[in-house]
Amino acid sequence: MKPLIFILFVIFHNNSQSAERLFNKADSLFNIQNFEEAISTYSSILENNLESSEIYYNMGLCYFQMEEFEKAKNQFRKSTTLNPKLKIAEERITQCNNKLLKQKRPQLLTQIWRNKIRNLCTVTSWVSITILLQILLTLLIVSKLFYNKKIPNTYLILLLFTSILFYYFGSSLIIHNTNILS
Amino acid sequence: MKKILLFFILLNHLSSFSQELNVIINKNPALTNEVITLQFTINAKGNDFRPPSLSNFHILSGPNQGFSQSYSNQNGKTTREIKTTISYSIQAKKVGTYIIPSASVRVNGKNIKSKVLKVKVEKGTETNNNNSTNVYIKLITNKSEIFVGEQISSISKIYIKNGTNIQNSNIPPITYNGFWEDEVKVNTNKQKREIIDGVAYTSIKFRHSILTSQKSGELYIPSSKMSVSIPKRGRLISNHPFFGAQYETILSNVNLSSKQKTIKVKKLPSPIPTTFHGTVSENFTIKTSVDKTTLKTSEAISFKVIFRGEGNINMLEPFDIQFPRAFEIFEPTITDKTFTGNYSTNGTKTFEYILIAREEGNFEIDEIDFTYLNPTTGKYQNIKSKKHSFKIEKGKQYFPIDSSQINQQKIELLEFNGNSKISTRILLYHWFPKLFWGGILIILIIYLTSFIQKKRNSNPEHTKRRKSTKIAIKRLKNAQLCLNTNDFDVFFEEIEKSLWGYLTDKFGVKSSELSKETIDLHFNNSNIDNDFKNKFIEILNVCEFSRYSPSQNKNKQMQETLNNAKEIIIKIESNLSKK
Repeated sequence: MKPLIFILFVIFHNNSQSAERLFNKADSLFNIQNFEEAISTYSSILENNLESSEIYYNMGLCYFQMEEFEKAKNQFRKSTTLNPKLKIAEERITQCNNKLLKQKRPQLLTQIWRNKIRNLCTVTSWVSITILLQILLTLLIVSKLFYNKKIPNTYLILLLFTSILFYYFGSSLIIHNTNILS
Repeated sequence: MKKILLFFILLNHLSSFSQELNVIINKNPALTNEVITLQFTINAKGNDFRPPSLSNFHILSGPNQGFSQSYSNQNGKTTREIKTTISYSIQAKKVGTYIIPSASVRVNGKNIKSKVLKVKVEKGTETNNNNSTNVYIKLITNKSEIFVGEQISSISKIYIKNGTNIQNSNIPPITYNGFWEDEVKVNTNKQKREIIDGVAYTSIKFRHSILTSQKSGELYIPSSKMSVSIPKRGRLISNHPFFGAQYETILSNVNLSSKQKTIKVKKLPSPIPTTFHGTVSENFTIKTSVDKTTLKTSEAISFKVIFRGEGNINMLEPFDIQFPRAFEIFEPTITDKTFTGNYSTNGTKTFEYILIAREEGNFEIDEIDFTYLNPTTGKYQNIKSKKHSFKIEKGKQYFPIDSSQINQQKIELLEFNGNSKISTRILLYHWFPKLFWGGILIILIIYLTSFIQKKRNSNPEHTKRRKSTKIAIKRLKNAQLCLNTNDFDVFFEEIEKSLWGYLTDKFGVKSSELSKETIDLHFNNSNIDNDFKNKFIEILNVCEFSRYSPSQNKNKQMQETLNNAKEIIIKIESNLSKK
C-alpha cells in the first residue's frame, strides 16, 4: 500500500510541477517577444487537463501583443470566468473592445442585476450552497413528516424557494461559463 | 441687386420666345450613294432666305419652301402657329467631312442665322448585299487587360440594317462570374446611325454595365443574347393591277448572340502596401474634415473622411484609423454617394466617425495614409489627408462606458498560482443540474409517501375494519378451502374450530376452559355489545346442529355461515379496537 501512495504522490506532484515549469517557460518566451511559441506552450498545459485564470490571462496578453484583439478578448473572458475577482482581466476586455471599436451590447436592467448577483460567487460556492440547502430541506421535511416535529410550512417553502433561486443563479453561471470556456 | 436679377430673368424669358432657324439633316454619317434631306425650319413667317453654300454636294432638288399655319383653341384662348420650312435633297460628291455653313432668313426685319452643321460622308457600297446579316449584336468592352478591382464597361449593342424592322425583342439577363456588376441605365429609344463597311446601320445600346473584377485570372464576360422577330416577305397574296403585288408577312424568330469576351485580370503588383485597401482608380482623393477643433471633455466631434474618385470606390469599406487615445470612438456611419458613370463608378464615399473627448489637453489626429493602384501606370499611388489638431478643455467629467485607465499600465504577466483540473470543472458543470433536480425529486417522493400514508390513516373506522377483515380471513382460511371442496362435515368443524381458536387467541382463554359461559364472561369484560355476543353463540350453535342434521341446501347454508362468521369476527375486532 505504501509504495502505491508514494507512486501516486510522485505522479501527481510531477504533473503539477511540469505544469509550473511549462508556465515559466511560456513566460520567458513572452519576455523575448516570441508570442506564438508562448501561446502554444500555454495551450500545452491546457491539453494536460489543467487550467487556471492566469494561463488564460497570459495567453490573452500574447494575443494582445500580436494585436489579435478578438482572440485576446476571448482569453481574458475565460480568465475572468475562472476568477471573477481578477479585475485586471476585465479592464483588458474593455481595452480590447476599444481597440475593436466595439460597444458593449446594451443590457436590460434585469439582466444587469442577474449578472451582478450571479457573479457574486463562483460556481463551486453556488453549487455547494444549493446542495446544502437541499439537504437541510430534506432533513426538515423528513423530521416533520415522520417524526412529527413542529416545523412551520412557511419555513419549508422559503427554503425551497431559496434553493431554487440559488440553483437558478448557479446554473445560469454554469451556462455562461461553458459558453465562454468551451 | 434684385433689379438686376429681375432683368436677367426677363431676358431669359424673352430669349426663349425668340425665333430660331433650326437645321436638321436626316442622315449623318451619310453614304456617297445616299440622298440626304436637309431641312431648315422656323416658327415664323420668314422671307429672304439666304441658302448656305452646298458646293460639295449635288443639289437634287430644292430649295423647296413650305409654309404652314395652324390655329389651336385652348381654354378659350386662340394661339396661332406659323411654320416656314425650306428643304433640300442633296447627295455628296465625295467621301469626307463637310461643313454646311449657316443659312439665314429675315423675320420681322431681323436676320436669323442657323447653326453650322458638320456632315461626315463615307463610301457606300453599291451592291446591297442581301447575304450580309441584317441584324446582329456586338459586345463592346473598353479594356481587355485589367487589374483585380479595376472596372471595365461592357456595352451590348444591336445593329439593325436600314430597312429592316425588328419586333418583339426579348433580352435574357446575364450573370457574371468573378465580376461585380453595376448597371448603367440605357435608353433603348435612343438610336444612332452608324456606317459599317459602307452599309448604314441603326445601332441601339440595350445593355451597359460597369463590371468590377473580383479575382485574378482569365475571366469571361458571357455573350450577350437577344431574341427578335424579323418580318419577312412570305407568299404572294394578290397581284392587284393597281396596288401592286401583296405579300404575306411572316415573323421569323432569330436568336442573336454576341461573342463572349475574355478579360485577363492581372494580380495586384507586389509588394502590396499596408495602406492599400483594394482601391483601383485613375483619379482618387482623400479629404478629412472636423466640425470643431476646440471642445470640452465629454463633448463629441464628427470626423469625416471623404473619398472622391472613380473606380471601385463603391467597394471601399472602413479601415483602421489611428485615433488618439483621448477619444472614445464609435463605429463610422457610411454615406455612399457613388453613381455609375459610362466607364466606371464615380462619386464620393464618406465615413463619419463620432469621437467623444475624455481627456483634456492638445491632441492630433494624424494624417491618414491611403494608397490606391493606378491601373494605367500599374503603380501604387500614395495620398495623404490633412492633420487635425484639437484642444480639449476641461468640461463635464467624462464617464466612459467602461473604465480604461489601463492604457497607461504596463503589460505584465500574472504569476503561476496553481492549477485546477478541467475535467473536474466539466464534471461539476455536468452533474449540478442533475443533482439539484434529483434532490427535488427525492423531496417530492418523501412528500408523496407521507401523503399516501396520511390518507390511509385519515379514517380510523376504515383502517380497523381492514385490519379485522384480514384477521377474519386468516382465521377462516381452512373453512373457505372446505367450501371450495364441498366438504360438508369438515366445514362446520373448521368454522367452529376457527371461532374457538379466535377466542383463545384474542382473550387468552385456555383451551380447557372453553365453554359458552367463558364467552359470556370475557365478552362482558371487554365491553362487547350483547348483540355480537349473541350472534357469536348463535353461529357456534348453528355449526353444532348442522354437523349432525341433514340439510337440503347445504351449499347455501355453508356460504351463509361462513359470511356470518367472517362478519362477526370483523365486528368484534372493530368493537375491541374502538375501546
